[in-house]
Amino acid sequence: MVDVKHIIYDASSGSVEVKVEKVSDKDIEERRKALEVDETKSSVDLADLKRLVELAKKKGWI
Amino acid sequence: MAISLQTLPNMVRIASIKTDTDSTSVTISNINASRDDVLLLTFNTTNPADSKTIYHLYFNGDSTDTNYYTQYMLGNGSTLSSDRENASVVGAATASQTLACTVYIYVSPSGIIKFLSLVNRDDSSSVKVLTRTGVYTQTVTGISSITITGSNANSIGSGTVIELWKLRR
Repeated sequence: MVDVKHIIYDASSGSVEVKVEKVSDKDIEERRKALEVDETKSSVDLADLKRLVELAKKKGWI
Repeated sequence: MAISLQTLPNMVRIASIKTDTDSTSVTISNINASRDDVLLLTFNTTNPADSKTIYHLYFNGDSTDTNYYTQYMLGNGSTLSSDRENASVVGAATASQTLACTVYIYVSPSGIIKFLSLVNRDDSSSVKVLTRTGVYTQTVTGISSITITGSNANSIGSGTVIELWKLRR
């Protein structure tokens, strides 16, 4: 079990509350998977792109 | 030509938080922003988790990621990557590394929340540049709360500084 903390700041009064929720390791892992995203999709290597542009210029395509 | 100071925007600080414990989420409530308003959020944190953490941004208590879309561009060395996701993400940080994030939040006259996140993530020779634009698909009359949530448990490190400003016309 993990104590998961949620800090709540009230902008009108400036008060702070910390809510603590006990969460099982399994639920923690499920939450992590649900919130995980992959930031490496559709990657383009700039060096490869430069080589392609040079090739296209040499061939007279651009 | 003289410019009246009355025509320049004034920034009003709505919230200033420095956390003293690792947490999973931080919510700023009672924001009271309406249509046409522009907010500026700064989020400066260290990821204390032992794996990469993705940080999400939610409005008005709606943490259903499918109600948001974000488009990102990430520069990592000579590699650029980009994609659109059906999730509300503002940034990420590798395990034990830092994230400095500035988010402009706009509420359109028609009630659409849009945001632009400018991120400096990770440290030393791993530093990366990340930009994200996002949109909340639900129509709103304003913003009452903003929540930042990390994908790992208690991944918003102790000592995190969050500030929220409103730009007034």
